[in-house]
This record gives sequence, structure tokens and C-alpha cells, in this order.
Amino acid sequence: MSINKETVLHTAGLARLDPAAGAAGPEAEAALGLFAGHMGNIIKYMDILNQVDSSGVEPLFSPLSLSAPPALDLVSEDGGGRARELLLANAPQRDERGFFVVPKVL
Amino acid sequence: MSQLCALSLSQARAGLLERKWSARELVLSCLERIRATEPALRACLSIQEEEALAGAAALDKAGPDPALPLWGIPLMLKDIICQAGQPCTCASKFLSNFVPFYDAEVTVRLKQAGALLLARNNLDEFAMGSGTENSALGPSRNPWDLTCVPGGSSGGSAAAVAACQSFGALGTDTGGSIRLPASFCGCVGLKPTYGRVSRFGVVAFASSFEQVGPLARTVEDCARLLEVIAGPDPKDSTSARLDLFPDHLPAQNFTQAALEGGKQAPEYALKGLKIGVPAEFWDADLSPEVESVCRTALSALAGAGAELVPLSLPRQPYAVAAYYIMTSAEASANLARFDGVRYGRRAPGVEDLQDLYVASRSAGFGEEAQRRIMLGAFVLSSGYYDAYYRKAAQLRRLLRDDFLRALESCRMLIAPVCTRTAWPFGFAEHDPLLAYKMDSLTVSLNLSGLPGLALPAGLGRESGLPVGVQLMGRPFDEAALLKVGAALERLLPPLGPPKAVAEALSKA
Repeated sequence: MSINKETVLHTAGLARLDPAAGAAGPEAEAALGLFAGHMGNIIKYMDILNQVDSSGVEPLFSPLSLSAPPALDLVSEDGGGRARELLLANAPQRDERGFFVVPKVL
Repeated sequence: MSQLCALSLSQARAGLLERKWSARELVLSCLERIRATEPALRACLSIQEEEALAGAAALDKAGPDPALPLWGIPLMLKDIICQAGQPCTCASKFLSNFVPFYDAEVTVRLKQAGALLLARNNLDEFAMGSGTENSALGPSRNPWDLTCVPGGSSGGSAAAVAACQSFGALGTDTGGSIRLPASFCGCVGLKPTYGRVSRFGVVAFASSFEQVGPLARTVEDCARLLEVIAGPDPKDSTSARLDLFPDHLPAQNFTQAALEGGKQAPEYALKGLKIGVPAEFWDADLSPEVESVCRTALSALAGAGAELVPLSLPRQPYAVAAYYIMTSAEASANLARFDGVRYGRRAPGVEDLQDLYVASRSAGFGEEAQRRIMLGAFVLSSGYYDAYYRKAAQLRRLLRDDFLRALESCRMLIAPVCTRTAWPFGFAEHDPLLAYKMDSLTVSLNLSGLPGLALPAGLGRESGLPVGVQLMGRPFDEAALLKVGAALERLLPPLGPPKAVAEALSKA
């Protein structure tokens, strides 16, 4: 199938991306068109999978066929009492009470 | 190339234990090599000179400890493997300021084994690429020819190891990202069986495909590194518990296996050994020089008594399509965590939370990362899931069945790592699909979860660049790959020092 600009915009919305970020007008249109072209080529190539009869085949989502044993629900590391400080150390914005700060949600 | 840094890891270790040289001397030799070659190669994103020298001083003071398998050995990490207190950029603008406060499990194991971490290597952004051209911090260059890519995504690691900047490095292999750069730079690289090595603390791109593995200059060196990092980890639920394998005992004594293969006559490892030669890999539009070099490896194996078995893996031609559907889907889920709230770069001047997500992600991710996230969101989206994602997962099982069937009668398979040698920069700049197709011979092992060992087979007669072959094995049968790889290594001509490195050294 081919990918048009509308599909690109819809998918970009799902992925929280803007493929034409920083561009406007005809430039943004061109960026979108290029992106759609590349994506379309790739998706078209992926259609070769339709040549394979896979009816009744159980999908394989992980090569590890063994079930992953659940871990015990225990605190194994507490950051030496500094866990909160360590977790916040990379935050782009935080406050003095020890919370992440984000712009208004509603 | 008579400096200490040009020794193999195994030789460097032997000399350390005999006190022929100190850990400090090894670090200084590597640092000197970095200074001489790094302007040309750009293999490292950050260098820990002071830390490594301080670590070496502490080790030297205490004296050699033969119980620590990597005591005093300078190594490097791909910049996607967390190391406490060191930047971990994943070669992405988004993480340009990210400093993890904890070690990946493999980092812990290297440190506990006595290794000295010297630098963090360049890669394609989030390991998405085959040439390091997708690094937001600029590409690394091939140590044999500076106008060519070093391969990717662990390209910085392969270039550094080939140039003797360190005695080995850890990379990650999601679709060939250890084997391809090892092959392009002329060193040895191993992708372990899925589950063999913990992924805890490794920034995830496609979780069901990835493994951490070693790059080094000899098969034995790779074995020594794998032996340290392999084994179950309670912090990674996908790391395999070996007690769950009643049928066979998955060997962990990799060094012993490599020594057996490398020190005895080649016939010891090879006589009567059945090695499969899959038609779909050998008829895959190989460049004449790649085909000719790889066939010398086949002749060498046959000459030492191995039985080469022609066979077919009928679903191999669909591997690239299935691989890019499934890894893009996993990437779109994994990279959803980069939201500009908890870490990484936040775009300035945003109105609301939605804005913050979109602006931060669009500014922080490079073109290829965005393309894969979009492809992933598309194949997972309503109306396309069954046609693409589920279909690819079915193909994944069929392909894995093909491999396992072939590996019932053969102990391992052999194939070229790539259809061609290292390409010039910009080769697939305007054609991402062409770049994806260059992974056609490596992605199958990641789809199927099987182990692979890539080693240099010779230099292409047209390009003069290294050509690699890969041995592909049964689940958890890395020991056999290392044993046979060490035997094959002795039968093949050594490549000698990389040309661009030799030139850089003569000018330095």
C-alpha cells in the first residue's frame, strides 16, 4: 500500500511526533511528502510477506520460549536512602519538594 | 604496532599476571593510541582518562589477582550501556545530558572482574543503523579507509578495537550491530543467544531482539569477555536461567572452548564436524570479492576435515521485512518513555503537556529514530496490526523453525556477514530501504534468538577492506562457535594492522 500525508500525520499523532517540526508552509509540505515517500517504499517492500502462507502459524513474539519467572516483590535497592534524589537528578524541571514539574495538563 | 596496546587481551593478561607490565602501562599505551588515532576515527564519545588511571594505580598497588579474569584490562563500552556517573547519550540529542546513577549488569560484571573502563563508544542513535551515520554526534570512520563507514550500530566499538584503542569492547546486537561492524573493521564479534546476557541497564530499542556481546581482536579474547558477562540476572526477567534446560547443559566455560579450538591442530575441532552452508545466504547477491574471500573459509574448513552440508532456509528472503516490522514496533513502544518529563532534553517554550511531548521528541530524535517510531506506530495501529505485525511474528516463527531444523543435522551454519564490504559515507542517505536491506544476512539470528560469531576471513581484492564470515549456532551453543571459530581463525590469513591506523601512527 502507499502512504499519503494524511496517514503520516495520523501516525505522527499516535507517536507524539511532528515530522515537519521547525518547518512551515511549503517547506513543511515537502518534509511531510519526503517522509511519506520513504515510509511508503518501506511498507510496500514489507508486503512481500504476503507471499508466505502462514495460516495457522502461532506468532512468535519472543525467542525465549520459556516463561519468564515472576520476581519476588521485594525492594532490592533503595539508593542508600537517596533514591528520590537520584531519580530526580536527570529531571529537566523539578521543584524543591522533590516532584517532577510539567506544564499545565488541562 | 609493537606497543602494548596492540597485544591481544589474552597476551596482555598473561603479562600482567607475570608482572611484565603494569595495569598503568596498559592504560597509558591505550591512551597514547587513542590520542594518535581518535582525530581520524572518532570512535569515542567520552574518555575516562583520570578514572582509568586511578583505577589502574589502585590495582597495581594491590598486585595482580589471577582470580579476576579481566584484572587490569582496559575496555570500552558502547554508549548505550549504563555506567554510573558517566554520560549515556545513545548518540541521541535527546539524551545528550543524561547521566545514569547505576551500572548495567554487564558493567557491574566487568568491574567485578577487574576491568578498567576507558571510554564510551559512538553508535547509531539508539542503535538504529548500520554505519554510525545516524549518530547525532557525527559518524565514526573505518580504520581501514577513512572515507568508509565502520559499520553499525556498534561502529565506534569496532573501530576502537581494530585500532587497538582498547583490548575489547561491549556492543549490542539487535540486527547485526556487533557482527557487521566487527566484519567491516576486521575484528571478532559475538552475538550471544537471546537470554544469555542480562540486558538490565542497557537502553532498550527492540527488547526481544537485543543482546549485549563482546568485540575483540581474537576469538579467545571474545570468549574471555563473554565468560564474564554471561549468565542469569534476577533483574532481567528475559535472562535465561540455565537450570531450565534439562536437555543439554549450556556450557559457560567459553575460554576453555576457545583454547581447545585454538591451541590444538585445527582437525581437533573440525574433523567430521557438520557445518551447514545455507543457499539463501550464499546466493544473496554477494559482491565478487566477498564471495571469493568467504569461499576460502569454506575451503579451509573442508581442508581440515569439516563436512560442509548444502542446505536451504526457505524463509530467509523474508527476514528483512519481518525484522523491520517487529523491531520498529518494539522501538515505538520502548521509545515512548522519552517524554521530556523525567530525563533527557525538554523543548523550551511549550504551552501544555501534549506540546511538551511532541516538541521534545521531534527536536530530540534524529530522522532514522523518528522513521522507525512512525513505522512501528503504523504497523501496530488499528487496521494494520494483523496484516503487518502479526504476520511478521508468524514469519518469525517459520524462520526460526527453518534454522532449528537445519541445526538438528548440522552443529552450526556458516555464511558471509554482509553482501559487501564497508560502504562509503552517504551510500544510502536518500534511500532508507536500501540501508535496511544491507542487514539481510544478519537479522535472522536476532529474529530467531540464535548465537553468531563473526570473524575476519580476509581482505577483499577490489576494495582492500575486511570481509567477515559468521558461524551461526544452536541455542546456548556459543562454546561450540568459539571452539570452531578459534580453529578457523588459525586457518585464515591475519589481516595485519588497519591501513588508516598505520597512516595515522606514522604521522603522529
